[in-house]
Amino acid sequence: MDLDSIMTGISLIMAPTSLLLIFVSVLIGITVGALPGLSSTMAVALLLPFTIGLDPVLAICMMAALYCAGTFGGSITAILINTPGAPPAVATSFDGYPLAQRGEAGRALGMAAAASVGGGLFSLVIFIIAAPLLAAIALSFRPQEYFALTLFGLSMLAAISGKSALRNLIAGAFGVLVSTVGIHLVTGIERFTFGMPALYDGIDFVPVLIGIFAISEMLNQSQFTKEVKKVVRSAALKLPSREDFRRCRVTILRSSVIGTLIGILPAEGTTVAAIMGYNEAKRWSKNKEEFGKGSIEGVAGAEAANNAGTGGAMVPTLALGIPGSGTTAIILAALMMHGFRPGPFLMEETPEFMYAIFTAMFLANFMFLFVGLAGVKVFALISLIPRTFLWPAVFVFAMIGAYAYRQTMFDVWVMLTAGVIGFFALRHGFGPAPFVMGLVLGGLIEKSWSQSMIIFDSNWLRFFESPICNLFFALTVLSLLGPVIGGRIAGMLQSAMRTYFPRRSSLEE
Amino acid sequence: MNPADHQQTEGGAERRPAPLSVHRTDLVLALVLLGICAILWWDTTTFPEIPASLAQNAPPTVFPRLMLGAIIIMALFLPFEHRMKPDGGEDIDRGREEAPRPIVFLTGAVIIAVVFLTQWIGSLMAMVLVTAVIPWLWGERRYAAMALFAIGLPIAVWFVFTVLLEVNLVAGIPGQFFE
Repeated sequence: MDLDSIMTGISLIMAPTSLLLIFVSVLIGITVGALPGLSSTMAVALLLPFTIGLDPVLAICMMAALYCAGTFGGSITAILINTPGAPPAVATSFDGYPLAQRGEAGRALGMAAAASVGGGLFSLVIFIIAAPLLAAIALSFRPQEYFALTLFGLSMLAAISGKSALRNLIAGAFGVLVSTVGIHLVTGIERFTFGMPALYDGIDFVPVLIGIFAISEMLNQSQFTKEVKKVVRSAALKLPSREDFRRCRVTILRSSVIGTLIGILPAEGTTVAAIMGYNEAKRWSKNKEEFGKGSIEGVAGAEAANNAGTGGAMVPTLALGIPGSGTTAIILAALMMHGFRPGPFLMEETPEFMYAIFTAMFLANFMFLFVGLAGVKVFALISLIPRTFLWPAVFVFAMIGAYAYRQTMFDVWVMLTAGVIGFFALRHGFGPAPFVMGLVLGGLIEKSWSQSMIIFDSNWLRFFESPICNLFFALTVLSLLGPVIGGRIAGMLQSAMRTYFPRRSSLEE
Repeated sequence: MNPADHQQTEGGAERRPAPLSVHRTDLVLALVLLGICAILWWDTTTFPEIPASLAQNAPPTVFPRLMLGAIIIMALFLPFEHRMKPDGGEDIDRGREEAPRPIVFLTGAVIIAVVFLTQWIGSLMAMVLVTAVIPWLWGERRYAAMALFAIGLPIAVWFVFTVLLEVNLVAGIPGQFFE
């Protein structure tokens, strides 16, 4: 490790203004995370235009801090009103809400915060070790290896959480297709512009991201304005005991490892990590019967895993330029917007940048621990803001944010179009995250493919001359067939179980 | 999906799709996707011809066509996807059993209208319009809170963007008076 780079990275964040902005990001992150329907992904997308005038390093650090805090924030509403503020907190509600109903909301929230910090810090240690190593390996990658790697990243969309692997892949392919709009870099030919000069530069990420995450959700939420939520009242916020921490320490460690590993996998997100962390906590627990009825280990397992996923997801994003989740896809887009070249060269040319992000995420973890616990009642009340005011406010930020980036109304129309299409696509199971990943990775995959074709003189069989390409192609096939094979095996096992055990089997559960 | 497309298993506990059943909604969806792909494929045929020396083995049509081909192949599987699902595709249908409520279209119409009017009324008035109309449309009737919201939020956002971030928001006709 280069001590100068570490010190420079830390100094970039330690300025009072930077600390203040990171603190504000943490506050926004917890608030947004706590608000059902608003996700940290959407918040990062909405934050993008606000960072235009900021120092690029600080802008990315703010987003990273918001990502960490937003992932934790979802647990507040999951515990207090049984409505996960964000998808990764779904597993937290399984045991967090029963605990809150028993009057132990403080115990659940305290454990959620502590486990989140534990998971977050563990993943950051892995991030700081793994990212430079991965980047050093990736430095030797040629265009063909980059093509194979990106293809693998896109194929992981088949396994991303959602209703269907097939729909995720279709959405991802559409994202890649949208990235081809505009002038072709090699030949200078216009593609899919339909004679509109505004499309010559292509479709920009920012309005599409804002539209697909904010506007489509706003249209969806317009149908649920009559729902009323009630916060579980807790007379005294009693925090977890020393015995609780002793009981959960192994669970937190296990879930931190699971969350970090799941986060590192391209396209896998914190939601998958949280559910796996919860399942493993239940599997290894001595008190399995408590799960679902208010197990403190259940809260710890889910929360440690989902926050560990944040640091893990930053590894491929920064080291390879391949996003580890929907939110990191937006952070990747932000890197490009601010003129960075994501991938191994970022690590080589500006190593202090990685240390700055590490420091920001490290600080964010401690900030949300204190802010989250101290202000838990306030954040719980925030979740009661009526949708009738919340979503028009989101639209205002979306409209102005989409406009502010390039100061053109065309981008606002792009945002609206993306939002409307996104709403109908979401109804039919096409998630926004796969589309965004396709859009962000589209440029890279076409560039590496074109360069490979130039090098190979159009002989695509030469892709197979590289062992690294072969490895990634094999992983691609595995990840594409994984959901099908996995589903078949599970189906066969379930049939067998049903034959021998007519009552509902534990496998089905 | 048509209920007749399902059959019972031996125990009668699970409903599985009949062997050759087609999911009607997904069939329509696949046709829409194929239609979009057909239009885009046709558009690739209108790209200007370029000499091989300029294309350098990477003609502009090849990559989009690869993507379109991949989407077409995947779209062909869509109407049969429910058969591959252990639950017969119930999770795919969750959330789309009912048509979107009229409020979705009303909200969509309002935001499109506001964006359309922005060039004349300016960004500030557009924000006021949205924050006044949408809460009312969604059933909010606390008029004092609505008024505070419709004035306070747009002014705060306008201040942050124009004064702090120095973004030139759309002035519209009202802005011309202040110039």
